[in-house]
Amino acid sequence: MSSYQLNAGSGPTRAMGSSGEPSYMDLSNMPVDNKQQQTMMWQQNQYMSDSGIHSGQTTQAPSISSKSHGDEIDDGDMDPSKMMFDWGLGGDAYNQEQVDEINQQLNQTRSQRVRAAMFPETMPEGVQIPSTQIQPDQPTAVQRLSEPSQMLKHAVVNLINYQDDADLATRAIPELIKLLNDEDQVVVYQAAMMVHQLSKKEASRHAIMNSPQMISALIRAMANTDDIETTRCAAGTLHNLSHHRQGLLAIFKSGGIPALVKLLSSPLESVLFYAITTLHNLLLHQEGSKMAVRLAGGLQKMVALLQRNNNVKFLAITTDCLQILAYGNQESKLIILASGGPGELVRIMKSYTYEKLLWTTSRVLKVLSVCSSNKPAIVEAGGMQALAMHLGHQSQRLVQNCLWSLRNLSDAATKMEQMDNLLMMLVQLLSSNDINVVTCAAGILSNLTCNNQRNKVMVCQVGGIEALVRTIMQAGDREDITEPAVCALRHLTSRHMEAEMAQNAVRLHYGLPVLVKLLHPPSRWPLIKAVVGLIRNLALCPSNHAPLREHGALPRIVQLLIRAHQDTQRRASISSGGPPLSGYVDGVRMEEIVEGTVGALHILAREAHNRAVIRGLNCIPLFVQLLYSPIENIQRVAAGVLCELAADKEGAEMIEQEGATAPLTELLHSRNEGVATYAAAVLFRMSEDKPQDYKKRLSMELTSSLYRGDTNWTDPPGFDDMAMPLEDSRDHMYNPHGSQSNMYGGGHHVGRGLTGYEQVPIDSMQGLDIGSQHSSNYGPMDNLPDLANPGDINFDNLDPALGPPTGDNPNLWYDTDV
Amino acid sequence: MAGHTAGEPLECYSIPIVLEKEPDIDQHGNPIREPDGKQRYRCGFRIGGGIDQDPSQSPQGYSDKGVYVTYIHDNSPASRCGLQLHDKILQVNGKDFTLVTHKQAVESIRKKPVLKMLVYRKGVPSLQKPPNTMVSHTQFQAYPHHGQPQQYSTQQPQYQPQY
Repeated sequence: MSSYQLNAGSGPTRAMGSSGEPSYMDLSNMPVDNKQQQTMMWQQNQYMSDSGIHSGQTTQAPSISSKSHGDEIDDGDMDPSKMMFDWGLGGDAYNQEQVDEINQQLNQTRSQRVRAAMFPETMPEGVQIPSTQIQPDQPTAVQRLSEPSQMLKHAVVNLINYQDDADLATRAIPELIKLLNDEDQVVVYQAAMMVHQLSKKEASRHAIMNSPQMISALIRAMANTDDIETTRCAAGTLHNLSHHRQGLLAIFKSGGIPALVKLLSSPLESVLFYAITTLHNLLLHQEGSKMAVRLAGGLQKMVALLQRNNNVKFLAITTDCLQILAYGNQESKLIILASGGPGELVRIMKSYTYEKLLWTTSRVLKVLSVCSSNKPAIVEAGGMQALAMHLGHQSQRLVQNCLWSLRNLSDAATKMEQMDNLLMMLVQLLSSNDINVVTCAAGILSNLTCNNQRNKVMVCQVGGIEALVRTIMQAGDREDITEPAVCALRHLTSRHMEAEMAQNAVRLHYGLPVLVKLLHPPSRWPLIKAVVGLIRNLALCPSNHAPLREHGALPRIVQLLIRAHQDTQRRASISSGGPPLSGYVDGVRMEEIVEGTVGALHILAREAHNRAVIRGLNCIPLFVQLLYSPIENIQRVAAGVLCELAADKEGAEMIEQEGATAPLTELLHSRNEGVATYAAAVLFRMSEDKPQDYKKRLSMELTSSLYRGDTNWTDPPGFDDMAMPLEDSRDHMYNPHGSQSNMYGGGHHVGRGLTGYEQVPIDSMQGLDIGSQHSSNYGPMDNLPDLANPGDINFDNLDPALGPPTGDNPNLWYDTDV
Repeated sequence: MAGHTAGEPLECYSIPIVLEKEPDIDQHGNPIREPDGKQRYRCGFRIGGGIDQDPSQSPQGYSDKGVYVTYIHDNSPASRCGLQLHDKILQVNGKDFTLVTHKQAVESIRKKPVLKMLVYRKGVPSLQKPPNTMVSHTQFQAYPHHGQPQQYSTQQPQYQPQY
């Protein structure tokens, strides 16, 4: 192999080295018409060994190259006289003129001969080229060299295709690195272009990847240049490299990420594409990239890009990057929030139809929706409605992600308007075959109907009751589905215009049997609690009383009550003396079960037959015991159910026999209006059979004890539309020992309450306005019954002076201006 | 329902009236305040009666110990809200007025700036109802505790990394 320097040159290479070995060149990119040039050059080089020609030939347009075409082609290398020597001068004698003519001809056809020798395949058919061969056994120089030239040609062709990175690595890369670091921007640009071209072929790409200095030089050039084309080439190179693990590693190690993030502000779209795709690959496959991108401020830039761009594929990649960065990283989610992410993402969901983009965006929203700061922002930006738009999409993955996001967001969206479309879709999705879809839909409905009248009415109107009942039936013992569905029904059956319709609808769609069944094992406490609450609501509708009884709801509810109550008693005895143990079983406190079951029995007891059953189950002792509970809600429901039971004579008698009078009287002093009122009502009903006189005194007693704490009484629950749970409105600052001064506006009578009661234990008497302010006819309260002691109060010992002062009153009848 | 014995169960039709008080001002237009500095409000009517008073002594000849409206000032919230002379006040802001002392009645009325009242007026038809129902006309209904909506966001959804 001759040591020819093949300087076909695809770039401004000044020196390809002079070691004599053939160099690898990327000739495939060269335009074909330059073959002529190449041929000419080879033609020249034939006569030069180790010439080390630095031709500097470029294959680009002259305007770009700093050197013009054909500068250094030496035309004067052909020495005709040499040829003539080869020929010898034997044979015919030609005169000088003829010789000159022949020489000229031969000169002109020389290139053809050389071309024929080297590239016989390129010769057109039937062309006669004058031969210079004089003697058959003495081949011409061209002929002699034709074979080696052919071999060379083959070798070059092989080299062009041969993946020999070692060679390139040792030869071209160091030079390119130097050029990339050059001060001259144009040089840098050329070098970058060269590298870009090289990076398109696999062998050279590997060479580049394996050279960390090359990568560093590229990144530096990319970051420091003002020329956008250089940036583009460099970015393109990195993009090509990013399809391989080594490339990713190399880029990462050389600090490519900050530079790429900087490129995200570029005005040139191709640069943006290269940058975001490279970053995407890094985030997907390169360990440590996420942290680096976050540190480099990538999140803010990516969110900003969402605004600028309309290309759906670009947006899909960008949102996927955001999702990778935000998953599991709270800080990233907050940064996205601060950069206005939720608004942009919701806008994308609303505006585009490209499935992949919708899918990636829904995943970002899903990741953000578990963050409590992002949630309200997404909801306020209209996220619920935007996600709802795609619930009918044929792409299952999109629908599923939307549902997950909606479910996560749903507890923050209970006050949103314009949810009608969403609610309709959700009711439809309840009939889906996919379990996940049904689970999510039930959960979302449960939350959205919580405390929201408009949503409740809407769901009822679109057949939600029927759909939910059917869902519960089909779900069997899958509590993931039944629990939210039952909760949704519970919301739908109370406190809105269509509640009564809903209560009837559950029955009409055969919901009662399956609901009562859910009270039994294997149901766990959360589900049981929900079902009990639903049954309570259903019992508000009189038509449900008999069916519920027939399906055996009452005994089971009582059973649950007893179990829960025993559990609380056990805990109380364990921790006697100390703070009460609040025991959670499956995340439910047994006190809640007690309250729920008694509450249900309270409403069920509106019907006479049910009352008989309840009495027959021997619950009254338990109810009376519950009156002693420290929890106000339990007191209230216990007093409530006793109130209903006391409507029957047998019930009233049983209640009195259980010694309820004492705790009930105690409860008259309760600061909870409901408790006090129910207690008063029970006592009242219990006194139906008593003598008139007794009744009068009792009612005096009751009303005075009911009204002595009137400073802080708010409206009773019956009159307000209570959106808040009952307990909240009961947060009184009431101080039973200090309210005297508030009651009497002018501050007088302050001391009166205390001094007159000395013979009686103070505790229960404090705050009792037994006497009236105006008339002093009520004598000292010597004989007041001892209300602090449990046990039956003997009303017969009441001082007659306490009776209503008919006829005793010397005061004139008068009126007061208010 | 005239001549109702205080303390007996009572069931009748009543008229709901809402009265919004206005700030009390003196003749110069300055607001009148309570001793503790709070603004005083006026309703513009007078009440008489109570269980500690003798209705036989009433000039109007009321028949029982209920609380009655004995006078309505012109140009007052009372005159504007539909309250009428001789209305018997059954309930104010949920508090039963059939069994209160006079002073208690006054205190109750003075307490809140808005009064939601139920009054009985002569001429209102009497109620016919079957026995054995809730006898008090004050219906208390305990509202179900809906609780808070379920927090779902503590569940992390599944994420499959795609390669």
